[in-house]
Amino acid sequence: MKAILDAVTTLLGFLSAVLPFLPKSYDLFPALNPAIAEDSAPATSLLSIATFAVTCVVARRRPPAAAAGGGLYRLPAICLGIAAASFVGISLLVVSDLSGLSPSLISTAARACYLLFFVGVAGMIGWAVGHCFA
Amino acid sequence: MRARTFLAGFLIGLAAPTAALAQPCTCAGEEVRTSDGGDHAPLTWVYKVRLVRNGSSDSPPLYCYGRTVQNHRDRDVTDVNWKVASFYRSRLRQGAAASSCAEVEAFLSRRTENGPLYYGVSSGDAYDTQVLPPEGGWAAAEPTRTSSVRSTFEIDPGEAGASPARITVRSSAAADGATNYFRYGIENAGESVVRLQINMPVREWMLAALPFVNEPILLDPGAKLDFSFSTKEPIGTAVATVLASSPDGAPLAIDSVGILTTAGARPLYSSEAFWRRVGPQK
Repeated sequence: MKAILDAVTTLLGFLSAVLPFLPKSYDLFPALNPAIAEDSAPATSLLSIATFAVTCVVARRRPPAAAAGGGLYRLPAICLGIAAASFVGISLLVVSDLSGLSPSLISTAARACYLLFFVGVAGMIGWAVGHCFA
Repeated sequence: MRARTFLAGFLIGLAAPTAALAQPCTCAGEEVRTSDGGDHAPLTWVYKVRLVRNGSSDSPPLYCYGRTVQNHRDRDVTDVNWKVASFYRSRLRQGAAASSCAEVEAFLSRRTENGPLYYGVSSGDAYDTQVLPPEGGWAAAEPTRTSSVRSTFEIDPGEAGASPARITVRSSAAADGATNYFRYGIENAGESVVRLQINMPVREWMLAALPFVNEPILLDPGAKLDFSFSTKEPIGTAVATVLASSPDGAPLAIDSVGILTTAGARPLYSSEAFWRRVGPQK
């Protein structure tokens, strides 16, 4: 049974890693210049799997006392906040008139938002997996 | 490396755009087809095909593909992504033009290809373009008897006050009996340091003689590097994908150049792998 759970965890970790590459096929961010998404995908993939691993381990090792103290959902809430803020950030960057800002700064911000969105999503997945299998 | 890219992008954003502006390269030969577009707000683009040399019974014609994107705005434009023309620049300075002139020995495609020229962070910021690419696309290796091809392009290093790197890639082949001698010259006539990796069709034994295929090579200002090998395999012509990056590895540009190699060789990497570093169009 433990081997199956470990396999499922590994599989979901892998899915977290490939998640950043999905926009190419599924148009997750159709409003984003493909150069931004694909340029950021490899680094995003590495950070996503690292985040998945960390949140998974943290959720599995969380002592019951901490969970009872209300800290149980703090980690996924933070991850959700990061993902949501990044999604809003990307949306604002592509629809807003930001002519007052440096184009390179906007480009960098878009890459950062793209990266953080998937890191947030991977963090939530990792936490959910760790919590379920704890 | 991505973190460095972000940092480099951020620093570029802070830098004053005072670099010298490059002059577009020009293709020699008889004009075959020109398409252009754009609205000056901020970009215009030109795609020219010129016939440098007619084909013969031994070899297909030699065409030069001139691609120019001009930024008419008073501020920089980032992520100029023109995949259908095999052209990417990480940044185009205010008022500057980025150009590339690639000689490719191959027949012209019989049909026009349409594709977007993206710029900025939004995919909505794009121009519809129509280009006439080489037959078989921007990656093919066919037998030939051509003796030499040459391509030139410029790379903006993205540093304040820095002049562009002016890159020339030459390749030639000569037969002596049953043996073919291949020579490659890579020059940087500009004033900036860049790293260059050329994804050309090769056979594994060629990698030792052509180190720029496997990993980027550093091109200092004024650098002239020569590489050569000989083989009994027939001469072929191909289109190679070039990735230019800053000395710290941040991608600056992707381009295509015509190049001579052995017929039947295969690229070490897919051209998509190169484009993936900066983003292919959907």
